[in-house]
Parts: sequence; C-alpha cells; structure tokens
Amino acid sequence: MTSGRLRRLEEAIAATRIGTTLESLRPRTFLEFYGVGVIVVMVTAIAAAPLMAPDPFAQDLTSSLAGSSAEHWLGTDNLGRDLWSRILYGGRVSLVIGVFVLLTAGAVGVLYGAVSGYAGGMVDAVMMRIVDIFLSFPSIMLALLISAALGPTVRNVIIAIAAAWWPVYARLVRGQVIVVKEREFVTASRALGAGPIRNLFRTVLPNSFGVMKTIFVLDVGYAILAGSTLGFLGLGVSPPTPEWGYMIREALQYPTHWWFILSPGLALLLFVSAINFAGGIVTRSVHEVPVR
Amino acid sequence: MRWVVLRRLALAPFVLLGMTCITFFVSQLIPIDPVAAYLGGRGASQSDAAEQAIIDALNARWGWDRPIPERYWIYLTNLLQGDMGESSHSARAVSTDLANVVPPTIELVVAALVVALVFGIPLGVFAAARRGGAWDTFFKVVSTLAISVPVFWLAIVGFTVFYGRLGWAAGPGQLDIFTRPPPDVTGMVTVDSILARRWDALLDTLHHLAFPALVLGLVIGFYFARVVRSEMVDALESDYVRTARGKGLRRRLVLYRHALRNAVIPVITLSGLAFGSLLTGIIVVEHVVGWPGLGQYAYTAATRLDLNAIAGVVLVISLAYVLANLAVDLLYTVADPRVRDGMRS
Repeated sequence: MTSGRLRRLEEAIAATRIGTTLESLRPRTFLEFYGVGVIVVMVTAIAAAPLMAPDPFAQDLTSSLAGSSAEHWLGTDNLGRDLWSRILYGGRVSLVIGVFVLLTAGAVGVLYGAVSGYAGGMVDAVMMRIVDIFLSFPSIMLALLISAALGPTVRNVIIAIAAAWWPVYARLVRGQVIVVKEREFVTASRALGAGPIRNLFRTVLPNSFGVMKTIFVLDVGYAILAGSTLGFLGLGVSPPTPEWGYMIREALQYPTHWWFILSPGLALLLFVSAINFAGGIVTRSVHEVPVR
Repeated sequence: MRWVVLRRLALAPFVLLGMTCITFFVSQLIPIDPVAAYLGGRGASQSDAAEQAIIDALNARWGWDRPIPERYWIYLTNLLQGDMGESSHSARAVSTDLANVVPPTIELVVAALVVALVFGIPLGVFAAARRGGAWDTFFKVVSTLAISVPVFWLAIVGFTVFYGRLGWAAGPGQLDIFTRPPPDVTGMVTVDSILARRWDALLDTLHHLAFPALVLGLVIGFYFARVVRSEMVDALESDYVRTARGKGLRRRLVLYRHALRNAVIPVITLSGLAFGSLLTGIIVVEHVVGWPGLGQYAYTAATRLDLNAIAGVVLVISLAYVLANLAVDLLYTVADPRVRDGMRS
C-alpha cells in the first residue's frame, strides 16, 4: 500500500539526470531559492536554539496561555512554557527523526536491496517476496503498532517509521543494482579477481548510490510529517519533550488560543514545504508525483 | 474482457488468503505477548488463580501457547467460520465492530474521492494548459503546500474555524443529536436516509459529511491534479495533439477530448493506489472530527495493542485494496481502447 510512494520515487529516479554534479545541484528558479533559503534559516535557528530562546521546559503557571509579548514572542502554552522556545527545540526532535529515519531505513534498504539484486536467482526471488509482504501491509498500521508496542521515545519513533519504509528503498536499490552489475566495469573488476563481497561493496554499490541521494532529498520532509503524525496520535515522543506533532495534540484542548495551535503547524508546513520546493533541484522534471 | 474480470474474481480468494498470511505473520513479528495484550488492564485485576484460568481458556480457544504455524491454522479456521476473535478493547466480536465502523468510512472515502476527482482533474488540466505561466506557478505553490501540510493540523484548524467560529460546518459525528437516526439497514446513514425517505436526516448527515470529505478530498485532489498536470504536459507536446490542433479543432475539444483522455489513465491507477495512502488521512481526520469509522477503530486497535482488531482492520483494508484494483482494471477498459481491444483478441 506504500506503492504510491514507490511510484513517486521511481518516477523521480527516472527523472534524475545521470552524472549529477555539484554545479547542476544549484537552485535556479525562485521557488528553489526560497526553499533552500528557508531550510538554511530554519536549520540554523534550530541548531542555535540555546542562544536564541529561553528554557523550553521552564513552567510559569501564572502566565499560561498568554498571547504574544516581549518576553514570550509567540506566547505561552497551557503550562506557561515559552512557545517560541518549544518550537525551536521541537524542530530538533523533528529534524533528528527525519534524518535518522532515512539513515536507518536507507541503510537497511540499501543493504537488503543490494544483496538481493546482486545475488539474483532464487535468493532474489525469495527476498523480494518478503519485501512485497511488507509493501502490502498498510505502513501507517505497522508504524502505529510498533510505536505502541515499544513505547513513546524518539528512538522508537525512528524504528517504527523506518520499519515501515525500508522495503521501498530495498526495492529501488535492487532495481539499480541489477542494472549496474551488468556494466563493463563490474565485469572488469571481477576479471581482476575481486570476490563477490568486494565487488558488491566497492564497485556496484558506490555506482548505485545516486538513487539514495534523490530519495534522501525527496523523503526527508515526509519522514518529518510521519514523525509528527505519530506525535499527534500520542505515539511519538513522551512529554515534556517538545515535538511539533505532540504540541498540536496538546493545543487541541485549547481551541480558543489560536497561536498555540497555529505555531507548531505553521512551523511544520513551512519546513516541509521548503524541502519540497527545494526538491525540484534534484529532479527538475515535469514528473513531480509526491504522495504521502 | 469478461474473462479477465472473472479470472480476477476467481483469484481474489487466493489473494485474500495471502493477505491473511501477511496480516498474521506481521502481527507475530511484534514483540508482545498476545495473552497479556488481550487481557490488558483486566488481567491484573484478577487473583492469580482466576487469571491462570482465564489464560488457559484463552489459550484453549486461540492456541496462543502453540507454535506459530499452528496458530495460523487456528486463526484461519476460525476466520473461515466468520470468527475474527474478540476485541480486547470493546469486548465485542471484531466482526461486529467492523460491521459498525466500515460503512461510515465507506461514505467518507467515496465522498472524499468524488471531491478529489471533481476538482483535481480540471485543476490539473487548467494548470497544464497554462504551463509556464503565472497561473501554473501559482498552482505549483498551492499544490506543494497542499502536499506538505500535516493533514491532522489542517483538519483541526479548519474544524476550529468552520465549526467553532463560523458555525458553517456541522459538529462531530454523523448526525446532530436532535436528529432522529433513520432505521439501520446498510449502516451508511446517507443510504439509510434515502431508503427510509427521511430527507431531514439525509441533509443533516450530508452536512456532517461535508467537512471531513472536503479536507481529505482537497489533499488528495491536489495530488491528483499534480499527476494530471504532468501527464497533460506530456500529452500536449505529443504528435496527435499537434495534429488535432492542425485540423483546426477547438482548443477545449483538444484539451478534454484528445489530451485528457490519455492523461487520465495514470490517475485511474493512482486512485486505486491512493486507497492505501488514504488510510493515514482517514485515521487522523476521523480522530479530529469524531467520525465513528474504521480510522478511529484502527487507531484504538493499534494503540491498545488489540491484536485481533488489528488483524481485522488490516484484512478489511486488504479486501478494499483488492476490490479497488479490480475496479481500476475495469475503468482502464473504459478509458483506454487499446486495453479493451487487446483483451478481446
């Protein structure tokens, strides 16, 4: 059921030009500049949070749910904690989830897909049927189940989403490895006496890696969204850790305090859309087929 | 063509059998004790002896202490008799629960897909016809925002504004508390209202359906529109469109009759696939607006580690997926004469 994602990534990979150089990865259009700019500003602010904001855990119940003021730029939440600070620190959690989901799912998927594609034959057939099984299981159910079973921590959120996402990467990398392993330089390496393991990891994989770069740029936004969805459902990180999705869940009880509910959502929207605007740099093609 | 459909239908039970296998084994990969998960808080409140008796009884019925392949066999034989087990959360049979929650979700999904198709396809055509222009850029910005927005947040903000502030949207649930519900026939309140000729109930339930359907429909619709746009751009640069233009056909005719006809095929595939992706949206939107459907049930099942209910939910989704793809195959033949003729020969 993640086939929507699979299809989107397949199209993006097909659209990625071969031989991407640093020169060609420059933003060209206004929207791409905007995306890159917002990402740079937000990541800097998130990284420099201790310099720019007060303690995100400091409660001040006498000024709870206060509006914007010189002391609290975005106002305070239900426990009187500074929202601006919680949004900056919450960005750290979201960013860590996004990046580590891709690293974990990417590592598992690349390894699995590479072995499957390189081995070929029966091994490949069996390994890919296992991937099919995972692909046909609704990914959100798998993520919900795992995070409910393991408990709400950042590490478990990453495991839960990565467990639901790796099969897509395995499938994509396998496809790439199958193409690359037939190329002449692989035969040459084999003729020079390289064994299968050296051949796979030193010759085939480095040349199949372009795929993962595209995936990384296109998927990091969706990984952040998936993390915040789990947070919103109460299965993300445990309080009092600030996290954008969980903040929205907390704000749900105070619908009249609009800044409380708007600010974390806007932060998410701003960040994820910036990533998607900047994503055009990697694919730069008419085929933009994203799915959640 | 008829043969293809019949073959598909004949294969469907086997596909479903595969799905039960997947459901079962994936839920076994989760490192939790099914007996403990089933008993939950109830288990702890009993004395040790009573608890052991309960555990033995559960093991006797579901074979939770047996090896995994044997448990699968027990699960399957129970399933064939329509016994999907008992939900540990609701303490009812899972099949009874599903019969209650599936119809409202069918209403929501159908309404959302209608919204998505009705505005998504023309929007994609519109943007493609003006590709590179200001409207196209505007479309790109808005649709990128639409695919980046957290759906749960959009639903909350929309609900707060349109229900809380403006009072345009209806409140939580399927019917107003003052509206007498129509007699329960199909479980779908819209259909039941029509069957019972209760026009007041029909209007009320449509009012309640409108908001969640619009939120889901908008998000999917923009996604459809992006696909239509990129396919249309390809189609508009093709030779047959140039020929059609060269013949002097009207612009609208070329757009809708020649180009869209070819661009819409991937959308058909995607609406089948989107069924799976829809689930995330259904879970959060139902959660926000209190729609008593499968999404809420799935959420409760997963968070309470209600394994029987989870297996039931996944089975229902798999069934929907199989049916949706069958419908997609049928639609293909309508949209693409090559498929129709290819199947005849």
